[in-house]
Amino acid sequence: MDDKSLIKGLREHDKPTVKYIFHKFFPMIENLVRTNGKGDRQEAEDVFMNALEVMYLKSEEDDFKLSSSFSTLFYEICKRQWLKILAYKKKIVRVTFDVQSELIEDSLATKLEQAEQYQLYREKFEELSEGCRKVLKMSLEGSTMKDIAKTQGYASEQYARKRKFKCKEKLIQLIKKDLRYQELKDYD
Amino acid sequence: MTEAERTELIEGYLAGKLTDSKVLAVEKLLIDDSDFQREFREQKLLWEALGPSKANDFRKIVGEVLEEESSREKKYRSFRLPSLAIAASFTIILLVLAWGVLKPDSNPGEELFSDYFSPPMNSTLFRSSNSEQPASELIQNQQLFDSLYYTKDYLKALTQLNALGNQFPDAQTSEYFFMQGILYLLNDQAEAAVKQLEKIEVGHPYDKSWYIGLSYLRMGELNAAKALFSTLSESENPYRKEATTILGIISE
Repeated sequence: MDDKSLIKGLREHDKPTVKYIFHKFFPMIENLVRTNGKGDRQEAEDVFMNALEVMYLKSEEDDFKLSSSFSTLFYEICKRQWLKILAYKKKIVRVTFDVQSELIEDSLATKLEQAEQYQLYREKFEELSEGCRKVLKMSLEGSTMKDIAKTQGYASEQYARKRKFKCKEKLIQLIKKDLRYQELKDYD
Repeated sequence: MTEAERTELIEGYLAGKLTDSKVLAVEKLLIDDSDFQREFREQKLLWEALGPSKANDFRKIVGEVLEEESSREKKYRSFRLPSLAIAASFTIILLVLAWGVLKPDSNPGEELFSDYFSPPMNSTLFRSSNSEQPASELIQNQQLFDSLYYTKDYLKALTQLNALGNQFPDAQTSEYFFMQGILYLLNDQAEAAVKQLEKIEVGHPYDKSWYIGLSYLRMGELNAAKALFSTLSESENPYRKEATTILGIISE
């Protein structure tokens, strides 16, 4: 599969393409994660997932063109993702790879930050109570307060509204307490 | 406007549910009110990260692939573990018994080969095939090959692969030769592995050098191996560290 087909596959949410990328690159990523900081398979999967999201976000741009081969760029993004995770965990590791800064141009760096922000939001969302997660998820998916109140067994729409507001507030608090929040620039 | 009202206004804007006049009001606030701007950014991120977006649909697909591959890996491990443990015990006993006899003639490359050779976890064969025959026969053959490879029945996998190549000449891509080389190595036929790996023309630039280098180690041709590991140790690639280590050992 050539680079053009890979990008096309990503844009079209094509599962066989994602599988192909997994088979082709995951062993390499797992090796990177295991040999630099003794990461495990789960962490390698996180790196894979986030790096692929960055490639996806980038591929969505109308004028997107690969600045180098898909494999070089993807591996570079994986390295960066892993370095960020190690830094966040405050793990001091002597890594056996180099980072090629010239490969990450500005717009790609923005996508990296964007994906990291998403990741932070998703992680903190998982820390909320089950009830809060459900209320926020329903609201984001377009459910009305009436539906939320009914599904969750709340006495009124007013209470559902209040609960949703509190849950969102709690989520934002959790996000702001995280060290990564300060480091991430606004990409807007 | 209360905080809750502001939040609802932003949500309505992001969902495209506001009237034109309210849209204009939001856009005016975005210019004039820095608190509103901040709140809008937070809400937008929340929407993009957790809401129904194309990026989240994409993540779901990646998540599915990861889950499928992970459960396949677990299944495979649980199946292989008992036999591996027995095989490992026998190997250790045999190694201890044979050590005294074999030591004087042992090939240092062979030991390094055993230490460093690890075949790819999965076969990617034919996923990149140029064959214009997406025939069910080809798919069935491919699936059979995949299952033989996953269950580590390497001899049968090699036979199946060779038969496939003969039946579908178009399927003889670089991926095909790569897997053929790996399988020859797994079947202890390093010379045949080199021949097939040399045929790789596209993709696998580092894999090709790495596995040919390992084949040379297995054959005891240390100078030929040295040349390849030396090249690998000079550039950024996934095998750089291992190649440098091997190079240090065989240069001693």
